[in-house]
Amino acid sequence: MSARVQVRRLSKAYGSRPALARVSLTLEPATTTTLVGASGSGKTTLLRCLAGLLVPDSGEILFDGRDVAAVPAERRGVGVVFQSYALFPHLTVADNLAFGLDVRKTSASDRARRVAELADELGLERLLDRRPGEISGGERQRVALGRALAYRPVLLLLDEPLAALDPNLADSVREALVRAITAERTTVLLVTHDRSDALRLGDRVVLLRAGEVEQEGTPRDLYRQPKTEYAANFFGAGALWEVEARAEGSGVVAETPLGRVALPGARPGRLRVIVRPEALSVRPSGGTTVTVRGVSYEGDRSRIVFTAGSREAVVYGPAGLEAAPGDRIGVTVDPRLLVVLPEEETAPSGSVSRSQSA
Amino acid sequence: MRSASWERLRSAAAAALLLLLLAVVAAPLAVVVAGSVLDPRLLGLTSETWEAGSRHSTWFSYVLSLYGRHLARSAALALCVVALAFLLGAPAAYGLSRRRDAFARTVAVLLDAPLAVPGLAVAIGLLLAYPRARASGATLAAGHLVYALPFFVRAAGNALSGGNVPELEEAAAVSGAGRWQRFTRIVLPLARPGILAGALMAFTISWGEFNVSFLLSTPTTSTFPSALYLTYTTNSFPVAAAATTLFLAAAVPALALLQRIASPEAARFGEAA
Amino acid sequence: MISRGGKRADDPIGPTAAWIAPAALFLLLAFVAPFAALLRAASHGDPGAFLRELGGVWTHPHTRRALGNGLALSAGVSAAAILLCLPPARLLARSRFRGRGAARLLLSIPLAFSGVIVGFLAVVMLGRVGFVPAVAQALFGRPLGAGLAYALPGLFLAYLFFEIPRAVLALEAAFARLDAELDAAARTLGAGPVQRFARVTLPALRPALLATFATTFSVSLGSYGAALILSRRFSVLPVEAYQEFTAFGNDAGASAMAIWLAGISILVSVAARRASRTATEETR
Repeated sequence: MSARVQVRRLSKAYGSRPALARVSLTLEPATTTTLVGASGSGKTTLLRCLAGLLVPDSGEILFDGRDVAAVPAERRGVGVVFQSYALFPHLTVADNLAFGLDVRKTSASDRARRVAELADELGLERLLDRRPGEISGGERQRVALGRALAYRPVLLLLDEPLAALDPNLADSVREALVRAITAERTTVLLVTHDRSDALRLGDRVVLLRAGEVEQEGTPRDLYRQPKTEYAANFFGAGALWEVEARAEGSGVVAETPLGRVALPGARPGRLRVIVRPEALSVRPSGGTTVTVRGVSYEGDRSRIVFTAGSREAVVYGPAGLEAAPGDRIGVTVDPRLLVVLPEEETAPSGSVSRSQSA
Repeated sequence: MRSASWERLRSAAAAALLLLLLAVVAAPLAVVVAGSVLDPRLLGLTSETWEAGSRHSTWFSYVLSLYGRHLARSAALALCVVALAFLLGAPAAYGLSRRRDAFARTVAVLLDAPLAVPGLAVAIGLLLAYPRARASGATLAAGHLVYALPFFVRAAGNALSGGNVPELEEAAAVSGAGRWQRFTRIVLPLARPGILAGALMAFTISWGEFNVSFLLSTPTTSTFPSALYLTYTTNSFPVAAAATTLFLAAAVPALALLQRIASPEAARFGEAA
Repeated sequence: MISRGGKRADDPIGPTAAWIAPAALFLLLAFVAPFAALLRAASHGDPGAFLRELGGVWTHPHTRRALGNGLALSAGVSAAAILLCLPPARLLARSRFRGRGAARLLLSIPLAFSGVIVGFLAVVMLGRVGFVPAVAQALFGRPLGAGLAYALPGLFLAYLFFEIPRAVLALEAAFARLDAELDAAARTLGAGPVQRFARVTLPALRPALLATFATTFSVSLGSYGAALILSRRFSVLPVEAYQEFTAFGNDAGASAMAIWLAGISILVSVAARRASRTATEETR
């Protein structure tokens, strides 16, 4: 019972401030899509529109091809895990889990069976008689997830499900979350501001920027082939270098401050390259000699800011690296890990001014 | 050092003043309650002769024989006011806690407006507007409700304005609960402490109401506070004392319960009662 | 493109206006309509007559005295109640001591009283054969305070008794809301106790003081039970209005007096709200 969800040119403004501008995307059945972006990029607005908690200004939302604009939240069959979990404080864990079945007048035996199933799946058996105020944060998150899954939603929306948790807890909770979601085989949209969660948890990733879709694709696409500088830096910050590339033999070679680098698949001409720290490594000998500008110790490694020619970049070195500003060290570059941006930065599709005139 | 002694002096003065206030409130109540069971001459209070009431075993049974009907009417009226305050006030509190439009703002102002208008003015207005409703007691109930409703709505609304009620309601909505289910299963249970406090306030207000009732009541609808006026002006001290004690017997537990469940609400009661 | 009318609000989940409508309708019928009836009765549909009726309350020496009595009594009692209750209210809000709940309960009991009961209590204590004179007689051989209930001081005390719970509970709430850190901050900055009270506590309490004054003033002005029981020579306007309405059937006159009372009360509460708003703006 998982739906194919299509969003078409969805726009929403709060007063004169646009929150979503002509957003279009598709959520495939039984896949998990992560919706990621900086705060204020419109993630929660999109989630609330999908849930029926917010009425968009224009655009369509289709569940399996059916427009749900006129369907109120309580009849959309969408499950939502709220960021604060929003558990009903006056109900027990069992009653929280059963709430959606209860209001649907599901028979008591079916209800009991489903609650037992979810409690087993989520490890909540011993908490069923407690109230939300009496259980831990991780347990609350599981109850919130169970409550949203109980009535087998056609679409499951999770709003920053890991944000309220202790970082030490997040890893195990993340795994449990993925297990539970996979077991239910429903369409999932997970909102997060955490780039690594977005890449880890999604079959597909949608990056929102200022109410517009900056890029969507597989996690690998977004990380390895970002279409814009913003997308590139969002998932892994690096230095932006403009380089001149020439055809040489069968390939393309660019002249960079770190020497000549082969760029497979790139076109000759003026290129913009994102140099992430992972593309670089410190060499005790060899490599291009660069000047250290600053070193900060990060425990398991050292972060070194250096300049090569007039360009600046960051490289990580071993924790024991002895270097001080002004020192000269050798750095090599792995061309496969460089990100070459498309030649022309395409203006984000459907910019605000255009959507307003539409 | 100076500051510490000053502090002690100030606390002592405040404590003394508190004791004085407690004595001022407690003394007359103690005298009246004692006077309802003891021979008032022990209190040095009366030179009047005993009334016909002496054939009753206690002053209470005499009061009940005289004013039992008023007492029952007051109790029924107070419960009726509580029920109406709930029926009108709980949905209104819910609406006012969330809506910020012109209609809601107007109603909020209108709701509090009676608190700045003397009961007699409302009573005269009700009589002039609905001259034939007096006999049924409808204007009487309306007059009480006008003063009870703002307290009920405020108490229930306070319970709803704290915390994350809007989000809980959203959670209920996406789980499939319609408007009515959300109200009965989420909003009302969350507002319960406030509703209880509001109900106790409404009861207390109606139970002691005189300013509106005195003019609006007819011999067949007259309430216990009006009976108290009657007893103060016509009966002897022990009878009046017993009647007053009966009045306190319902009012004090209501106030005590109110304080137990919600002292902040009780404080608001003081702010505008 | 979906076209949506103005029917659905931005918040499709929250309560609609319909939840407020029953209470609004009730207030319309039970408060606005009666108030309009008062205005209509005082005017007979003629604005000139309306002003004459209202003016009559002022020009007639009897009603003017009753109005003046009520205003002076209410203002005096409210001021006295606030001054008397301020220190105990602070104590109740700040200190934890045994019997605090009981003390608060005892002080709140007069909330349930009508003026009539208060009047009776005044007679019991300070009447010609009251408890206080009886005790005084026993102790000092003289019935001190006998008959005081029927004179102005008795009426003043009765009204004060009535206002004690309102003042104490409201001020206690205000003290409880007051940030205790403010006082500590002022102390670290070198302010002495008097300076702290005058320059930190009092300004922060000002809105609550004004609101409490407005409340106690309105309640006193509109209450007439105590005066009904106690005052022989000393009348207040609600008593006059009551008699005008019931004994003389003078709807217009009674309505005019009721409008005076309501008008003054409303004016005082609006003024208090204004003043406290400017007070909070100043402290920002």
